[in-house]
Amino acid sequence: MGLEKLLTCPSIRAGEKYRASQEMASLEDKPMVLTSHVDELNAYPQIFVPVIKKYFRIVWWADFENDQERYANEIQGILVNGGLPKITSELLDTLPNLKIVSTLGVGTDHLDLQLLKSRGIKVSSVPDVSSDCVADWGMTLLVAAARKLPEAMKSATDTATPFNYNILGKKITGSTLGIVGLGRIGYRIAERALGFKMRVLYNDITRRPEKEAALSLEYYSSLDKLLPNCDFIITVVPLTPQTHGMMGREQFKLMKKSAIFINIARAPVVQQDELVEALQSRTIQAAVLDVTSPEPLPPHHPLLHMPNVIITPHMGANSLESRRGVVEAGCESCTAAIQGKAIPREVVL
Amino acid sequence: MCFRIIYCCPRLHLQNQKMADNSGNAKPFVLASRPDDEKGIPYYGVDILKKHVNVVWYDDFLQNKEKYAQLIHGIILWVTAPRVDAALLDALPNLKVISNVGAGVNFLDLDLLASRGLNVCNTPRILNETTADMGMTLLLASARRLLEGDQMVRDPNVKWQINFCGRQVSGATLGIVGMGGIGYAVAQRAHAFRMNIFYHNRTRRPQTEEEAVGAQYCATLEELLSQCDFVIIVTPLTAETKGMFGKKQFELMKPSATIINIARGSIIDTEALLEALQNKTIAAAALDVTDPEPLPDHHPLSKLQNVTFTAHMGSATVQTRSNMMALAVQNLLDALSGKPLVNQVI
Repeated sequence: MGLEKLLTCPSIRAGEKYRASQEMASLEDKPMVLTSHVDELNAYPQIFVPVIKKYFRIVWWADFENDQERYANEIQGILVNGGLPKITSELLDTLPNLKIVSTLGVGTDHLDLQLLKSRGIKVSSVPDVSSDCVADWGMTLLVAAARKLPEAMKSATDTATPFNYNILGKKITGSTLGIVGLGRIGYRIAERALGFKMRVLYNDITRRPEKEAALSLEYYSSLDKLLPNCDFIITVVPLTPQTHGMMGREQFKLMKKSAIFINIARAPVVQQDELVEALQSRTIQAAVLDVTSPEPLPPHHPLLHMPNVIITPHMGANSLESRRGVVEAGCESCTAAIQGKAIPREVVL
Repeated sequence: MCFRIIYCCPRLHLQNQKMADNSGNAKPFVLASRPDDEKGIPYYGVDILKKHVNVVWYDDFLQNKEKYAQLIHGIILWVTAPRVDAALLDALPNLKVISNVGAGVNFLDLDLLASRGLNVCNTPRILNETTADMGMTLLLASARRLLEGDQMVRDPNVKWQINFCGRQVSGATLGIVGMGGIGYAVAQRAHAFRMNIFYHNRTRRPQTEEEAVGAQYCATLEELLSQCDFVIIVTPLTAETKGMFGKKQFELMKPSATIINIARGSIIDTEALLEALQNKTIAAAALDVTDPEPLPDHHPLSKLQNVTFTAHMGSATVQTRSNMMALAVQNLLDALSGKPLVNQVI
């Protein structure tokens, strides 16, 4: 009989109380953070709660709203997930000891950075942990469109459609990929494309000579000069005034008729109606969109009714492993700020 | 166009051959299945055939055996058709060569064909990369639940979930069962995704080849199975590999693992696979080939959300299928003109 069992005899309930008190004692050492809620579909899934608990005592938003006085002075950090909780000046007013807002994602559009700066509160994000995951997704969309995966699946399983082994895809090996935006994700896409022995060209506002040399990429300073050379084009740029609407009628005209266009960036990078036009007129062969305007598209939108279009619900960073990594990284930044140490992944205000 | 491309491209090589034929010899008579874009030889294959041989379509042959029987010197096989049995061989006294468009010849009775003194040719290597591309496509799409995502978008009754997640491919572990030409091409692609690669093969590859893709050899299949997040089958179908994946093998795999088959359907015991998926012994499957093929309508496997299917399309691009047909025709012409055979099975 183990030592632990001896210690918890004679009553199991006594043992449980003992263990719970041990846990409480270790938790009391941990700083308190405020965050949103658990929801398997749309907020933290339960499996990620232990990740946060390694670092912090968690105050869930609902509990905070019900009992602000109890928690307000102790909260030193806020973890923002999926835009929640929303950071307002009223909220900040109630948290005198708040040191940092850590957003568990790439973007900071949803944060009022000026407000936080004015209050002397640090900000961190997680711009890099999901890069591999999103690059994987970019390639997944490319190959699925190339090999006509939805049609192939239907042929193999739909009883109304004949089993047709002659559904021909587009050859991936040896084809040419144009990457628009050679940032963290774009570079990783290039690495993967080279595994398929694709020829990789890129366009970016900044030339990246070291990355070019490392992977033998070909640079095009002009997007318009890049496009006619490509069998596949993928946009991997952040949304900025320069990239807004960068892919429109003229760009689709410059592409090969056999080209496949993939967007994993932000929907407004593409002039969506002009893309629809290009697909309908067979100016390009096919498109894959992980992002659309709006999200989701209304049921009757033409993009949902074209055989040569694949649409996915903004899931580029949706792997369990990547999500877990993002939560972990956010917690690390939050802890560092609370401890007064250098903050990894700080958003400099 | 550089010399190397002319030398390597079967299509261009054939055109040179054709010019040689036109200068003297008549085109040989060759039996083939049927011209049909869905269920037979599609138009691009028919074009290549007609340029180089006198094609006798199978239905025609059945109606006019006396006319054609003595003339036919070769058979072109496209997806196992026409069916070659003793009766057909008896009806073709001057048959010399059976040329398969495709690499796998598991469906042929090679003993029977050898006993009749026939040559059999196939088209290996030329489809390696396109088939490896399909292997990676199935792996990625299955891991990241692409088709489910696409369906979700199209169903107005389904609300999007932020947490609709798949499994990450980068950094995951892949087991390649059968590291021949296609298996190695898969390894090259997986390596670019920083996958950790194990492989099992009858023979071990040279160290330099292993190092180029970061692949570690497993002497037994069992050793490989317990370590992998993804397992891809890339062996030919032989007496040894038939039914290689059954209940025992699925039990050795991780419960989170995915099995991918781009080889032959009957390497997997279909019932065992169904059970393994239903019991969550493994997590998912992606199949370009099944046993039987196709699966009968309403087969329970085809109802599972976590199975991705394609209709035996590993080599299905215009370029590759055209190249395969061109190579098969070249093989046939070589056999008939007594030239040394590059792609000879027997």
